[in-house]
Amino acid sequence: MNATVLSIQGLSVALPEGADRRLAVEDVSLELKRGETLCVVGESGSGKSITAFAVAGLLSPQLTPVAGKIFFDGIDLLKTPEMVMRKIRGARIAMVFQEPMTALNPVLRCGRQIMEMFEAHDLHSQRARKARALELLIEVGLPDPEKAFHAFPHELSGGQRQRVMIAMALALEPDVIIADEPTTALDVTTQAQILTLLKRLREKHGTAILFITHDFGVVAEIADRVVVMHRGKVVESGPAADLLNNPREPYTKGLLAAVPALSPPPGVEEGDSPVVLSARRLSKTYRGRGLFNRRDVAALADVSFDLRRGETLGIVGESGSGKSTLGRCLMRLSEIDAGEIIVDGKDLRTLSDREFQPFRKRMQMVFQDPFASLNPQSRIGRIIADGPTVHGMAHNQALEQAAELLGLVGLDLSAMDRYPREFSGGQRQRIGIARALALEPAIVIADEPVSALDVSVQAQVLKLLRELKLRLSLSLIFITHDLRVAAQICDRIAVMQRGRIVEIGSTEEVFGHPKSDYTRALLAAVPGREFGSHRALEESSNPA
Amino acid sequence: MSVSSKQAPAAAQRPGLMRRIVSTPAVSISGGFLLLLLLIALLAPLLAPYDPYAQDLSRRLLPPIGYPNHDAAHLLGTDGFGRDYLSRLVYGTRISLLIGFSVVFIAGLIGTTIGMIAGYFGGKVDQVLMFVINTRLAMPVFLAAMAVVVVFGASLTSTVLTLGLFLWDRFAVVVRSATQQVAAQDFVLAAQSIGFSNTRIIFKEILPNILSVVVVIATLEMGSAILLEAALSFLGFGVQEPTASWGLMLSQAREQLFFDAWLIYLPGFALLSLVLAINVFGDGLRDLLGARGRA
Repeated sequence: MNATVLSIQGLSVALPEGADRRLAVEDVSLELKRGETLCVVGESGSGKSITAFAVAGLLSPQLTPVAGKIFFDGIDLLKTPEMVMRKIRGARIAMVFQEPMTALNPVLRCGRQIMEMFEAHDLHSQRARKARALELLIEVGLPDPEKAFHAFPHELSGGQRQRVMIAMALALEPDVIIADEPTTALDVTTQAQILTLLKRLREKHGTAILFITHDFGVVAEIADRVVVMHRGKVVESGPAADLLNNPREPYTKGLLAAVPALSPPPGVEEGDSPVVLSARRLSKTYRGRGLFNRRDVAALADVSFDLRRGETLGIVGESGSGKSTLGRCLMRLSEIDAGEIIVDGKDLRTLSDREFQPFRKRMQMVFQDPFASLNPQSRIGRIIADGPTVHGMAHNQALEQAAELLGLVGLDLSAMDRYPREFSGGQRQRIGIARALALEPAIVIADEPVSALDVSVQAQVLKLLRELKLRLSLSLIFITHDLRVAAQICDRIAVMQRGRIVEIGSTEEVFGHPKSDYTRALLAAVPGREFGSHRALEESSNPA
Repeated sequence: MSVSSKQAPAAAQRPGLMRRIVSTPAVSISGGFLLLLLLIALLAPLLAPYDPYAQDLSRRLLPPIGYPNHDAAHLLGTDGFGRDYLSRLVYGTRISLLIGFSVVFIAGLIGTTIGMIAGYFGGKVDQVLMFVINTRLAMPVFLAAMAVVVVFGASLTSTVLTLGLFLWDRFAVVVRSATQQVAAQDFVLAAQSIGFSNTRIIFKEILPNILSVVVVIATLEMGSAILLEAALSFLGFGVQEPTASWGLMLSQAREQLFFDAWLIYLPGFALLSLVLAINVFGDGLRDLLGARGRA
């Protein structure tokens, strides 16, 4: 039971010349025992995925292992010729990737793709392959395995696709499954199901799982042992319970402290400040236009809420719940079909574009993807100053104000003349916030502003948002799928499901005494529920 | 707490475009050759040993250097009217490059505008413009160009205008899809939410991001414009005598094909090397600019 199946000893992988450091992975050693789940945790750029790909022999050609050994079944995988590796890969070491949509071949039916696993390794007769594939689809818990067998990947949901991927990985009963962020692209309820499935399969088959993740909640949920990586090196490793509760290294402590707790901090008083925005019975339907796709999707149905001055209203929900559509409709980036959005006593929907222009100054938006939300060809100064200029401010004055804003969001003045590509994700998000603030808005709509960021950077950006909100008495609409983040930053929360608000109330109420079943299900699905820090946003210690 | 010390690592040392051109042999060699041709075209009156239009019927069809009984005064010989072949080739560079640049300028202007409008606005606007693009694609350029030239008369100007009005399709198609990609990014949404006008968004936010695409198509289209001019001139529908155009020179050499083949080789080789250099340069440029990524 406790035999070591995979052992990495002193692995170093070199990065191509001109990268920020010489080694992507430096002197990494770890052991994976039969039937255990070993989580490799780290922020982006920590080398966790490269370590996993080195094991599977799937490193891209620019990356070369320069030292160390990877022992599997008594042989060193780094010295194994490609011919032999092909036999091992899939049969003895299988992989599950992050994005099941791109990891599955879009033009092959799912059943066929599982059967290919057997074909590649010359196993079974055609008929047995088919039977076995169906068995696997049943085992991974697909609701209608027969249908899934004949379905193309795009006909399945994200969670179902990931189940198919897992079925493929299981097909040849491998000793080791390498799972690279297998639940990161999934909704929280789906993620919980996939984690349960992996746990069950590991117990049943005794497969060892090398689980790569950035999410400490997931670690708390699934790991037996944990390896923490930072800038290519192993910082700390040990049994999951020990490491999560009593981290020894300051880096691990910092990371853990940055994970927000699922329960809201106490003592949030209900404000009675004036209403700045009021949404009344908003609805919007995306109509299927195509010849074959006439299904209408209700993105917003009867959505009503008030936003008060100085409050943060969280809009939480899974993908497809309409939360992002709501943000866009409030900004009039897309039109609602019916309902009223009332700001300063005016219904925004009835205004012409020209009449709406002054309201754009009142409401601004912060976007999710820090890489797509800044024009790569513009200097930072221009990105921030252009808005006020268009709204009539003198260009020099706008630039002066931009410089002040950079200070306000914690960036150096030298950023003015640089281009977005010179900044990290967290810094870009600060620039995005500065751009939104340049117009001195009363309302800021933030659409998943920290979802693309590492946990330590995420804590910093959240802290900044909260400070700015207090200082400028902004009203914030905070759209997120992450309940932990919502718990820490929101005063009130609206839970959305299929275009409707199923529950709205103070954060304490929603998290402490959820009224709707859906909210309860969402809360129950958050991995590692008890785990997390209340001081996440107060802690400004930066492990990175 | 200062975060600005943490730089995005990958971006730190990206050499400038010029440095990368120089360090890529295919691009630097083809680019250097094009620069040389450009200089030849600009300095043609200084470089050409003779007046390219001066006829000397007593010295007709002299072979170029290396052939028996060549004349050292005419390095590349003379044509059927006794005009110095080297001088005519040098002046022909002017026509080819003039055609290349002006046709691409006109076509690029039309195509990029159509492509950006279609890609940015989408919907009905896109449908209408796609219909225009498809209509243009359904026309055989060469036959249509011949017909236009027949109606309006053959001249350098009419060749440039005709080709310019016909060769914008690739610009439009590629720019349209590039615009769609850029327009789907959040920074365009951010610009809309700040309240920028559509014109401003198209020219200030989108255009700088698709310019590299436009430049690459421009080089490729320049090659085909030059070839089309040569073909039109060869058939007598393009540039007219006595102007020195490589296509025209090929046309006039037709009768001598079996007797004085060099009359064909020389302008043919000039044409080949120019268009090849342009295409290699465009190809390399695409790789260099593409590697820069959409950052």
